[in-house]
Amino acid sequence: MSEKFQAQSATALLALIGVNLEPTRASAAANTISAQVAGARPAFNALPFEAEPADYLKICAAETK
Amino acid sequence: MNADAILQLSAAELARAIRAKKTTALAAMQAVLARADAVQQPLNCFIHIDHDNALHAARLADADLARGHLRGPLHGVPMAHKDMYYRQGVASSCGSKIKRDIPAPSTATALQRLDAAGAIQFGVLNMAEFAYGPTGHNYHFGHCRNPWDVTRITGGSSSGSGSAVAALASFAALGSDTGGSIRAPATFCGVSGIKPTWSRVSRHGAMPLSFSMDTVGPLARSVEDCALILGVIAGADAADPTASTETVPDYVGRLTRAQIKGLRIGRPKNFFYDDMDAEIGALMQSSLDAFAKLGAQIVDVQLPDMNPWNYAGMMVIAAEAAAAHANWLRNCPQDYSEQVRARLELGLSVPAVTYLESLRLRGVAVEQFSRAVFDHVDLLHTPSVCFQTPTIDETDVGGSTNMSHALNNITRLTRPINYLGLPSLSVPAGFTKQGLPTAMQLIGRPFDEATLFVAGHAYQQTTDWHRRHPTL
Repeated sequence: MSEKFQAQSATALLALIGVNLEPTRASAAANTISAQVAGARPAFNALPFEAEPADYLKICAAETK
Repeated sequence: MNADAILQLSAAELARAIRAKKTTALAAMQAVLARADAVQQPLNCFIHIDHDNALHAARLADADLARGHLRGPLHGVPMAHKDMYYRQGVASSCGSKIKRDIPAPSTATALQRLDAAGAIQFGVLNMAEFAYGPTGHNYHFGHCRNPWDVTRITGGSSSGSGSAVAALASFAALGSDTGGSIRAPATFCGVSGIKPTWSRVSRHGAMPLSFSMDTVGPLARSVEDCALILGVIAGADAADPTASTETVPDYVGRLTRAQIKGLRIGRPKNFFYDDMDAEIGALMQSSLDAFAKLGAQIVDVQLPDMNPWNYAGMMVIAAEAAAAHANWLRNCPQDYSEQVRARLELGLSVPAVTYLESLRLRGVAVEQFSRAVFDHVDLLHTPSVCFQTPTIDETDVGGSTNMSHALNNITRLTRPINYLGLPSLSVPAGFTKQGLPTAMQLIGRPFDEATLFVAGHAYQQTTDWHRRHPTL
């Protein structure tokens, strides 16, 4: 994917939520988040199918002394 | 008791002195106002000081005590707070241009509880714009400066809280911590600070940044002060349905009865000492040696891989912050400083699926961390940062391309604890050769702040790092 196309895609996606961002800013943001997603992916790949956000509260309660 | 002697007291000591009529709320207020005025020019730690109302409130507190009415455990203690805790009808700037003139609709629960306990608020403190910055830079109100070296950062986002408490210009201060915003300034400024368990303190009337990660807590002159203040502000709140109904222990009472002989303290084998500055590493070891001398058992602990959790935490904060700010990003993006705007824009790019995967992962992460740590030890001892305090100029990265890396590195050791939602106590642990403070963080089970306070208080009974104050 060319950088120009990537920047245009990021801008178009943000326009969906009504934010007007210049292509270079949108592209920079998308690149940073791409790196963070890649960093978290090993843990995401190991997530059980049944895991859901409320598990956090349940497990905290179980771990409370 | 003269003004200098009053200023040397911790909040708990001052409260005892006022109760015992060794000094008065008015004398304490006059002393702290004079100190605040004196340090404001070099430190820029206050956004506003309300002299007249503070002096009036102090006189009323003294009149109450003269009539035999003790309001609570903080009767007459002057405090200033990070300018993001709302008081009805008053504008809280949140360190921003956008919010600086908007009156708050109600008063924060934490402030209501401090008021009821007898504390007297005399001002509001500088902070990172919208609490979204770990250095203490603020382009609207001016950068806050470190009282140990005014060319160095205070840490953020509770920059004014760390700076003012260290400079004896407030007896304690509320901060907030979403990725390290209490612990970073506590570390760099040499004061104590508690990031409580997520939901331990009501967030009602506190500016939101990331509702899954935001916590409310104090920066103070001692662990005892942190225990006292958390005991006042913690607990269920009808105004915040996410505030926990878990019982609030008598934190201060536990300090006098408890001992740490036999307490198992974990030392991480991985993650926290990666890229560690040698001098700070040595100070961490000295603090572990001090705990061992007190009878604690030091146990090496192998942690799960924390890096994916750190990334997940970043994306939760980014997405939630962007959602909270979406209207202003659409309508007045020019009113943010460049760095905060650029950081908020990052969150707009977090896919919904990734955000939800990050939240789904949280329970798994807490369970894995608890098995690795709390099956073996009572608390985990780690550094708060792995580098020496940088200068304001070195960290003035604006919205540049290396911004995310530079800023995320400052909170690398604190942010994962917000993601896990665990309590973490920052305790001063010595000074570098350059005369700058650093700190350990003590991390506990959910809602087990009491054990952290017991350990930190025991440490402060045998060390004087927290009693040292900067010369300004």
